[in-house]
Amino acid sequence: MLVLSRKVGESIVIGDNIVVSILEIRGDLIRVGIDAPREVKVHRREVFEAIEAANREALTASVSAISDFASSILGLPSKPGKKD
Amino acid sequence: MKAMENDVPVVEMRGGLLGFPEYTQFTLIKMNDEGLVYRLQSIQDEAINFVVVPAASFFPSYAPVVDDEVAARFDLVNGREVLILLVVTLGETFKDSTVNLMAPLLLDPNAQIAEQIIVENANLSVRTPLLAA
Repeated sequence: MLVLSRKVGESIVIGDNIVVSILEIRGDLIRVGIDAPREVKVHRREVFEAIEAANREALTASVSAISDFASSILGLPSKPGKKD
Repeated sequence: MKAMENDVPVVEMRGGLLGFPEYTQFTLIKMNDEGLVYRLQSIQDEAINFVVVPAASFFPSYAPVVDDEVAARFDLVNGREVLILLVVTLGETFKDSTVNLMAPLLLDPNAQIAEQIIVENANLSVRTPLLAA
């Protein structure tokens, strides 16, 4: 891994069009600004990993399980949920 | 947000689902007459299936906040209608099934494009019970 030291207000350029800037340091919290092209997705790592894991769990090979699920929903009112 | 009426034969999933970037072409199949459950199946590999439900049917007050670039990609600023679908993780029973409120799918059924986005709302879970307990 490449390790660089930067001060507040300094930046790092990645490739031709990604710029990572150190905006502020307050205690153990560092605010980082990222300028990247639209097609480059930027996420907090733990969020990205949580969603990847949820997607892997959601992957369903069995079409019959999905059919069963769709049938089981029929006995419920049309707007069964509310919590969010 | 209106309910989706029909299947969407080809959906281009831009970037794929997170963790599955290689699958970008899907077909969306309605699994019951009420349109409460849909199956999202990869056209490239039919063993790749996800269950999705319209957010509006289960979480009527769900109001995902998206960043400006997502809004621009889906032309939301001009009032273009998109569907919000939630990815379901099937449980042993219906009650154990959960949905991912943090990363819904936005689907434009006319343009046949979709994307899994990460919403900016705080405190939404990737494993929210589909039914309130």
